[in-house]
Amino acid sequence: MKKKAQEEMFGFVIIAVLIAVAGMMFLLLQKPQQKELRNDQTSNLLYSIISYSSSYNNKPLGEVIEECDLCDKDCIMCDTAERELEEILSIAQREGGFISGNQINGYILNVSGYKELVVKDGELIGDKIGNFVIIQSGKDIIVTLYIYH
Amino acid sequence: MKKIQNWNVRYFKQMKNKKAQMKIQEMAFVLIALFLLFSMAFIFYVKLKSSSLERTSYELKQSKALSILDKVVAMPELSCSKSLGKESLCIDEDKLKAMNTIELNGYKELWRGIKEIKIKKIYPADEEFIVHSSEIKDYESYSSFTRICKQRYENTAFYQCSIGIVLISI
Repeated sequence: MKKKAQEEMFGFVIIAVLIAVAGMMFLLLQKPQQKELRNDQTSNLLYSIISYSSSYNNKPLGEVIEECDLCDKDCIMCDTAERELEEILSIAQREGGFISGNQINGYILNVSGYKELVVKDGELIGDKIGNFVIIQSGKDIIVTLYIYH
Repeated sequence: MKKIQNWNVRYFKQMKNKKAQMKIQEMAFVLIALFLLFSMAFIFYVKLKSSSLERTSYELKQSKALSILDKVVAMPELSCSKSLGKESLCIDEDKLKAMNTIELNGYKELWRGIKEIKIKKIYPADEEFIVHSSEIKDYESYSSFTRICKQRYENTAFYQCSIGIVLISI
């Protein structure tokens, strides 16, 4: 009688284990959702940034960045570009337009041509989304923005 | 002797009945346990699915809002003049000011399903324009960046651009 009860319990445990394994397999085999890295909002922001009329002779910020990339010394345009980029990104984050409905951990903007310019704030942790824009000049300047949320 | 035999038969019949009852009980317990296990698995699965459904619904609403945003920016009533060259994909501030002050009946059909459209200049200056507004105040808002440009004349006409944000509520 005792042996039979043990056998029944053993059978039940096997059934439970089999069901659990089947469940796990089902969950694991489900196609994982691909996280979209590119984001239209960041793309719109980048295009707005490069065509914004800066305080440097009213020139579009894209052109200011271009001039800065070719400048060797006493580069006021580089200071202007850096300051305005910092201000724009900080206001953009405050206005909550980076990603609708998400808490932002931090962001990094990288301008890379002959020179490298980096503007960042917050902690660069969590999922990231972003986009890039190319300013065509002597050497293409790539402006990349990543938002961490 | 016959009495003893009868008693034995009765005793074994009773024992058999008890054993059968035990088996039925055992079976019932196993069935209950299995039912509980399956319901737990089902609840877990439903929770998982509903959270992904919520996410999908949010993403769909967001992409709908963003496509409306693109349409708003590209509307000839708001977009910059192409005659001024490369700044054609932007919002003309003068047109925006005009839209802000007049509520045209003809646009009611166009704004169907949209609760509010707000365009805000965020850098360098702060200014807000309401393109469309309804009385319903409970809604979800989505936003995207754009350029807001103002025509200026210094020998020739050119656009001076600011950074703006378009807020759409659906």
